[in-house]
Amino acid sequence: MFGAARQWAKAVDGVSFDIRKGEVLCLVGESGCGKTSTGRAILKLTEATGGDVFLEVPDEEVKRFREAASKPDRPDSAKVMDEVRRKYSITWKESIAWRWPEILVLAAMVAAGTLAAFLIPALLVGFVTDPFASSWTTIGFGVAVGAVLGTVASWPPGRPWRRLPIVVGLLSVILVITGGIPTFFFAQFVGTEPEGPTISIPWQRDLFGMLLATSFAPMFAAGSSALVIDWRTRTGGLSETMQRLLRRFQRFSEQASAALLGRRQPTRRPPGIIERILNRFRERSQAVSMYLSEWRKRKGDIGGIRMRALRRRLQLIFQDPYESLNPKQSVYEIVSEPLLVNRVTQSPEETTSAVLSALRDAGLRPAEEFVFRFPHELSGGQRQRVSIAAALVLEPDFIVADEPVSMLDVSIRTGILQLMMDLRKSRGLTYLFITHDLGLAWIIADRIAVMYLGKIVEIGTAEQVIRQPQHPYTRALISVVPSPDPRKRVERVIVKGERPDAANIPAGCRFHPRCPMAFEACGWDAEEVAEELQVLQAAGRLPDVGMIMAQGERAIEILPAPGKSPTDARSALEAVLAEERNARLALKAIQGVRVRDDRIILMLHAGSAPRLTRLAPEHSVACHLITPPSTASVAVTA
Amino acid sequence: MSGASFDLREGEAIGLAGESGCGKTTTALALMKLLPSNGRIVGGSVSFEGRNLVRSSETTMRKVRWKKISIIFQGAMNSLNPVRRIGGQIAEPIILHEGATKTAAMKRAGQLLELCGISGERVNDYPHEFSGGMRQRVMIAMALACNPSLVIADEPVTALDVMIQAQILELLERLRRDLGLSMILISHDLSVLAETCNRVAIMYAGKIVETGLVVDVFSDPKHPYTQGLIAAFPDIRSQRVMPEAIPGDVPSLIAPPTGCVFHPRCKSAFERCSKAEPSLAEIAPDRRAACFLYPEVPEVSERTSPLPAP
Amino acid sequence: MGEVAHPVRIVSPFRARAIVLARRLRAVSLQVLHNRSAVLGLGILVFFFVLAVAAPWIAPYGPLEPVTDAPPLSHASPQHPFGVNLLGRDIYSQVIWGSQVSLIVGVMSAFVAIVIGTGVGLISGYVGGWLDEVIMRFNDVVLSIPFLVLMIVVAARIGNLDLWGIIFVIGFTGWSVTARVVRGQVLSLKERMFVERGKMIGSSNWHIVIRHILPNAFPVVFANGILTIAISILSESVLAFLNLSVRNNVSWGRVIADAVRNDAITNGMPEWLIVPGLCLVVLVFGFYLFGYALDEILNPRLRRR
Repeated sequence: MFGAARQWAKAVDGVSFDIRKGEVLCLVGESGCGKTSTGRAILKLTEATGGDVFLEVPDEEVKRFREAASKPDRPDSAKVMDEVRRKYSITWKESIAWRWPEILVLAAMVAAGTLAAFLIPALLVGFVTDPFASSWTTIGFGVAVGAVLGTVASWPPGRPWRRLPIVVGLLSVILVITGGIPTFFFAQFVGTEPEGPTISIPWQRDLFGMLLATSFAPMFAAGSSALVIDWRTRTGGLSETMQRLLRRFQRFSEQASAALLGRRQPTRRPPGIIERILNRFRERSQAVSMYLSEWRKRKGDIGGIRMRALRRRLQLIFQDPYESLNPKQSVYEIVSEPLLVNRVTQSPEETTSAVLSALRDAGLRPAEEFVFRFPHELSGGQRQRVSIAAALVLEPDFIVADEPVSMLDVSIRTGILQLMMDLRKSRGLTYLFITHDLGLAWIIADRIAVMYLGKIVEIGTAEQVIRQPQHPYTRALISVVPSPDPRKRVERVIVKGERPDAANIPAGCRFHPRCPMAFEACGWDAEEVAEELQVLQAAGRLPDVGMIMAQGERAIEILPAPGKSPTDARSALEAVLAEERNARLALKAIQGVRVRDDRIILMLHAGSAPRLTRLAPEHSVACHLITPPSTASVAVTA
Repeated sequence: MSGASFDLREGEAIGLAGESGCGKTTTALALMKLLPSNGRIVGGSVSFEGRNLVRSSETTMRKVRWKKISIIFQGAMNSLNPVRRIGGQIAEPIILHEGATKTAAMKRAGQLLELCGISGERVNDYPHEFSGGMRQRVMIAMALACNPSLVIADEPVTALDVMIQAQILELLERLRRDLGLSMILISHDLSVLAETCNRVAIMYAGKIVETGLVVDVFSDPKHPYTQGLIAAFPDIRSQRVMPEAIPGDVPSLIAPPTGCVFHPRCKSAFERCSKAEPSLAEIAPDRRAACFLYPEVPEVSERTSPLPAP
Repeated sequence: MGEVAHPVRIVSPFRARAIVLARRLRAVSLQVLHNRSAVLGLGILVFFFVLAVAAPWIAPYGPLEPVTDAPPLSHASPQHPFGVNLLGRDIYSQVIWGSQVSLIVGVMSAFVAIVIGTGVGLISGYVGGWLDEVIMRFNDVVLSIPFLVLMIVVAARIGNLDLWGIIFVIGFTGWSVTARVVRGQVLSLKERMFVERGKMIGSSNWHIVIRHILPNAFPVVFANGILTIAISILSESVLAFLNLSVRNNVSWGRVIADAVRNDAITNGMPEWLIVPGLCLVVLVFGFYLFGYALDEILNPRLRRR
């Protein structure tokens, strides 16, 4: 999801879960597991490289989507998925590929406009009386004719030829202004040049012709930008600005045409010959038409406007109460800003009363006393309440809370948590609560999802996850949470090692290097096993063995120590392996030991990443211990 | 802070608990006479190995610091010098205090790293090559450099993941056992103290309000603040209930409430609480509390032994 | 916590902001008054400001008016506290009039430089990308030319400058440092959490720059601005020394120039040179004192609890 220089570190990879209305889902994990990135991606604060975020999808649609997703080879799967996405996704961007005829069409359109921009004012001024004396002008004219035809051809069905003059006219007007006026002044300037030798063809015409020819430049520019647009659409969607521009252009042309020609329904007649030609032409230039007409058929817009309306319903509570408030803004300004920016309230009285009521709901009473204070005059708990008030003031439905209490003192935490739960009841809020504290999750969550290194390893109701944890990581995490009652001390399963760097994610199950119960299916790499063997060797347990080298991903080559035969080395090795298998789990991945030529080859089991499989209604785990890989059922998203 | 007194026996670990701003770090710094320029010790005594540190001169203190008492500061893992190798940084106090040669000191640094669970070969690495948990181990190694008998650890695990937290606490326990260290562990997280310390002292607004053995204090807290604090921690091993909050805010230390510092927020406060200040007194064998709920607790009298001018 | 009835005036957001600003201004002023160097600096500035404003009434003679009652190169006397210079003018009056030009040019040109520099720095820092690169490289070019040299060359090329001309010349050549400082501040502010919060609630970029970034960058701008004023005053005196400044009035630089050109010291009139020089030094020193003290006050050192 994040790129640094040219390396992609998959902070979150393949996470999928539902949040039901009115529930509190806790995303639990240590630092670096990707829970914050997930929360932010849901709110579109960071761009996800793939995947969808759906809002308020009815259950049937979810089923349809999942079915289509599980059968990617069927022809209409993609169509079904796109349909669902179009209606409910907040992250989807229309992906339309350009083909080269369409690029030419767009380029031709721009060339036509440029031509008109130069020709019309030059003719008006009298600068050009014989446009075709120069070859440059002929070329330019030819291009312009092609452009006109192409534009006509690519026009959308329905009212194909009505909007054409509007668009070309609009383009020309724009280009006349931007191109014609300089031409005009250029003419004046040229006029003051001292007299020089005359040439057969007046140099003014040649110059003008060259100007026309330089309209090739915009054509190439248009062509290349169309190519860029194509590439961007394929790889990740157009930027918001481009989409907005294209949409604005389309709306503008619609309004202009409506104003000039009136909204008249196309009468149904069989297509005349011209229209038939145009239809055929059009079929080959669909992209432009799609951009400019299909959009209006879709329900609502994506990006821009729709996201803004959505921002009111999705809010975020930040982790750091000291950093998330602008120290130069008073509490009033902080809490009223969302209202003003989104133009929700109409008058200062309305704004003030909304601010006061939000502050009261957040537990800051009397609200009037807090309104003109600054963040540095407030305590941590009060600041967090201001944060909450600022989130509440837009009356959201869904709140992502990113560790809202971890920087507060313990005795204040309860106040904030109680407030959040009360608000959930009174306003029907849904929470995605991100935290590293399992104790917190235990008290407030309906469901808990445990994340490790960018994947969900276990998800279920709070009771299931905390009282009957299945995944080794979850078990370790729970055992390590200290209890304020020293009588309740339990045996701690302290996982060894440290969380690996996100750029270097272990293969197979991401937890396997640190898992106390890993075995052969967990995805051991030849490198890891070789390292383990080298440790043994350094400890003197393998005196018969010389070099240990990893070969590829599933084989290790071992040379016997000088003077030892391979068979002896092999038996010694096997003895040590049998002894150490349970202490050093990497060794479990060794499938077989063979002698070939004068060296020993170790073959490793193939490992795989475990998929999230359902154990019980609501409880899913991703671990090979629970669901042996050979009998993995259809992977279910939680 | 005022009215803080506790004992620590050799080989024991005492936890100093309390919320932010209650004076825990100040106590630790005062013990080693490392208070910043706007702080002064105005009374009381610190008795260490038979000596009163408060009255000791700076020269004596310099001999004591790091060789007898060492401290791991809060957030210390972020204050390693980024342009020096850690071996050099660990070796530095050894060279300074014991006058060892550079080679001997570096060797010892490697040994200390091994003791703290880091491969000795990493002695030539730079701080940025270590993760947070490992840097904390480096800090612990540094604190042990001159073989102190007392280690003060100020919030040693606060900024770390819960798993690394457990690792570091386990390390501290092991070191204490193997090296016979005494430890003062400062934390706002009661659960951390519950797992690692023998005794605990709870601080509030610059005063110690309760002390005793960890098992006793946590299972049967005497002071209302301790009760509130323990009740405010979510317990993953018991029922799913929202912990109780302590109403009100921490008082400002510039204008503390009259009488008992905690009385404005106390559920069991009565008339005497606003008039007089309870002193920390023994209410049961090896249990002290500063609360008028227990009739043995007297009021605070004037300070004894005023300090000579700094 | 029970509810207490407080009278609340319903005010418009503008009024609210004004009230809040007024309170902040008062808080800052109190802090300033408690800071000794700030008070000293402020005192110096006020002194010279009053001098400049009251010049027409205080100065006994016009800036270039020849005196009649004393010969040239006469020393201090009751009518001419600093004496009369070689060209027959009262030095005391010249110094007083000089404060006018120096202060006006200094403050106004600094203002121009600050406005341009802040604008450029804000845009460059916030937008980033290639625009930032282009602007910064241009800035590098401008900065690589010694400021005085650039200024002198521009002034000489345009020639014959009036007051506004000087102001713009100094302002237009001096914005680079401010732009760089502001850009640095903007870059760090851009990453702050409350800017992220602003984006999340849907603020436009413009709104974020004006309401979040600029107010937090303002202390830096202001402190840097005070120092820019000091530099501008000195720059003006350099221009005046080279006869490139205004003609109809004197500035301290001009007086110093006259003194040097007419060999004041060898002619036995060191005060002709020393007095305006001293004024210049003291004024700039006042700006520096005040500027540094203000920087200390406005830049919060302790951001944590």
